Amino acid sequence: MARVFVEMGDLESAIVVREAATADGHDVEMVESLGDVESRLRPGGEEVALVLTGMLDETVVSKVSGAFSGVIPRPPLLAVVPESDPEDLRRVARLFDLDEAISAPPDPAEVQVALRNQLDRYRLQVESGIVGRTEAIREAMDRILLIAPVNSTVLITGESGTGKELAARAIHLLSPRRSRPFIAMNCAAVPESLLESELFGHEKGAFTGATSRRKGMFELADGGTLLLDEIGEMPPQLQTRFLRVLETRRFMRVGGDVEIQVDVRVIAATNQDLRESARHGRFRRDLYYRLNVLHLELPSLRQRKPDIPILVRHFVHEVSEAHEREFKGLAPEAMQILLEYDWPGNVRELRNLVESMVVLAPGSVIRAADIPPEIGPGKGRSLLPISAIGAAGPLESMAGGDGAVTARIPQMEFIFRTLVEMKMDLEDLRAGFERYRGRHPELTGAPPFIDRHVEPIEVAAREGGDTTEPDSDESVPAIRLTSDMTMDDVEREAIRVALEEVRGNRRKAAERLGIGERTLYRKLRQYEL
Amino acid sequence: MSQDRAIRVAVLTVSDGVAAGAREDTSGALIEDWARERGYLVAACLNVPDETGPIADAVAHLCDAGDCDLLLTTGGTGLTPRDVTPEATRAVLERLAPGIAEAIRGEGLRKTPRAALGRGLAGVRGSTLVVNLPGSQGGVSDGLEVLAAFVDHAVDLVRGRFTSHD
Repeated sequence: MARVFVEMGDLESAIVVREAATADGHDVEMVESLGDVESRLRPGGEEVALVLTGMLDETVVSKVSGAFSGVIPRPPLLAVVPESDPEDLRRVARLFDLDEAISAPPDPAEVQVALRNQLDRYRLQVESGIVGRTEAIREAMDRILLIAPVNSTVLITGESGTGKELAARAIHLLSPRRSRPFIAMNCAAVPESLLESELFGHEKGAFTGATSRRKGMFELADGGTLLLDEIGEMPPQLQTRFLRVLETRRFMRVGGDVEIQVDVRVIAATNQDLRESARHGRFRRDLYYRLNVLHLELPSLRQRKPDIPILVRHFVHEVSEAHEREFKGLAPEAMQILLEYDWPGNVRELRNLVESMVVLAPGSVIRAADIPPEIGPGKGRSLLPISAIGAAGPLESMAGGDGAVTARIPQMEFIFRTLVEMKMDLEDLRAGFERYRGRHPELTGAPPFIDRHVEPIEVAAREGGDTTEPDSDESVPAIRLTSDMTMDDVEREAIRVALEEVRGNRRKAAERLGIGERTLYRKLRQYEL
Repeated sequence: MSQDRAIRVAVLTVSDGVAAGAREDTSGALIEDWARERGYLVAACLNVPDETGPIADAVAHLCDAGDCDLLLTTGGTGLTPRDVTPEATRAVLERLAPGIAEAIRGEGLRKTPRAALGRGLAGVRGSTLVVNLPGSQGGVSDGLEVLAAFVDHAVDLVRGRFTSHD
């Protein structure tokens, strides 16, 4: 049940909407204007839907949108309009940024269906974190709502960073299995030799190192859902066994002789063209068809660029809350840059960028100057850390192969996160120092804390291997990452800067890097530092 | 028939009773007889319980295997909580053909108002036309009568034999 606010622009329509929504169990309130509804909402995130019935114009709609601009996802906004042709209704909905337009005079059954559908979509956004209002993402959301209750195998396809795991979680949450476990596993992240025992478990002594019995992912997910990401990376021998398990839901642990029966819904995900792989014999054809009973294709961020402002607001809110930083948002010219960029790493790349900017930008508003130069029109080859996961380009050339790329991606992500955390620690120190100085007026003559010491964590290199030195003071330690660096180079650079910052104190440098002192000594020898 | 080779038909009976062997599949048999009388090849006859997973798996498998041009399901289209054939079918279809389902419902309504309670769908997956028929023998007969008027042409279109609707 939701709270439905119906604007009384056209009283007859409003009454029909009220009766239909009340009959469906909603709590309906008739209002003069939807513009001031936001302030009347009860705290605690109640479910709300908004219905306009009067003449639509830019002013009315922008008043409602403005009132809910800080609420993501925005509650469903519907309108009763004079148009009746389905295509016209869609056009009006697009034009006025509505979630759905209903033809006047409204049919009570249609009103109920529209409210139900839009509230389902709204709940999906709240629960899954998939947000957006473009046609492309709405289609994907509708598909999720459609396939979630159908208890069959799902294949999710889409470029890296499009939210395949979020979609899989949403399918699980909206399915009858929601109270049972959701287990996710990345087939590319597990060494080939361990994949079988990860999936099916092993008995004690099954192989060297198997010191105790261990349940596999299939057992852990019993009654629930198992997401197998990067399914295209599954080795051929294991594909055969996996197919049999999909068909029978029975298997034996590695080294075991007792058959185990499970009830697991499998969701497979991939950024590869699995049909093509099956056609060329790289992936079992029968397994492909067994997985592809229900198919969900997620759009790239390029296909849903109008969602970028909503996503940015959503991430800014999320990240500033997580890092306890007050942040207002983006300047319009900064947003324009984001809108013109190609986003090869999709939503994940955008989220990483927002996170790095919220943490690293000096003010509480992200300006155009705060955006790395690689993010710009026609620049589809972004660099670490923004495209740390899954983006093609520099990472590929660094690692020299698909498998290597996927293996290195989590390390790159880890390094990025570490750098961000280091920056946050320094920020905290700075804030602490400023507070201390405020309490001790005798220190007011002391020079202010030098911002430069925490500012220049250079998160992205210039394209074309431009190694121009930054203008900053040479004494300021800065990590410089360039597109042609190997992982060893990155590690060496991190160690060099850590040592510089602690003036050569190896114990402190090891602490700062989160590694043991002995490991640091070994690496110093290895990198001849 | 307009096409070069005979239309290959698969029949999927959705019924807890039939799947458990407790009931005879009379509606499925009716569809088989209709298909044979029209010179179609009956490529497969399956039955599954009223559960979304088995229904979706069966429809997807029959369509993807490339062995049938027309898949007719019977049963599970009503309003009881166990009736889930339309939901399972909708999830696996790539395109809907609402006109076919409406035509079948319309013909049923001429016989009994209860036809309005049917929720059957029609649509396409790959190159197979899928049609949900009701579970009752009367409902199946009415549905087949409607389909007979255009199913050959519809299958030709789905197969990609014609590019226009002439």
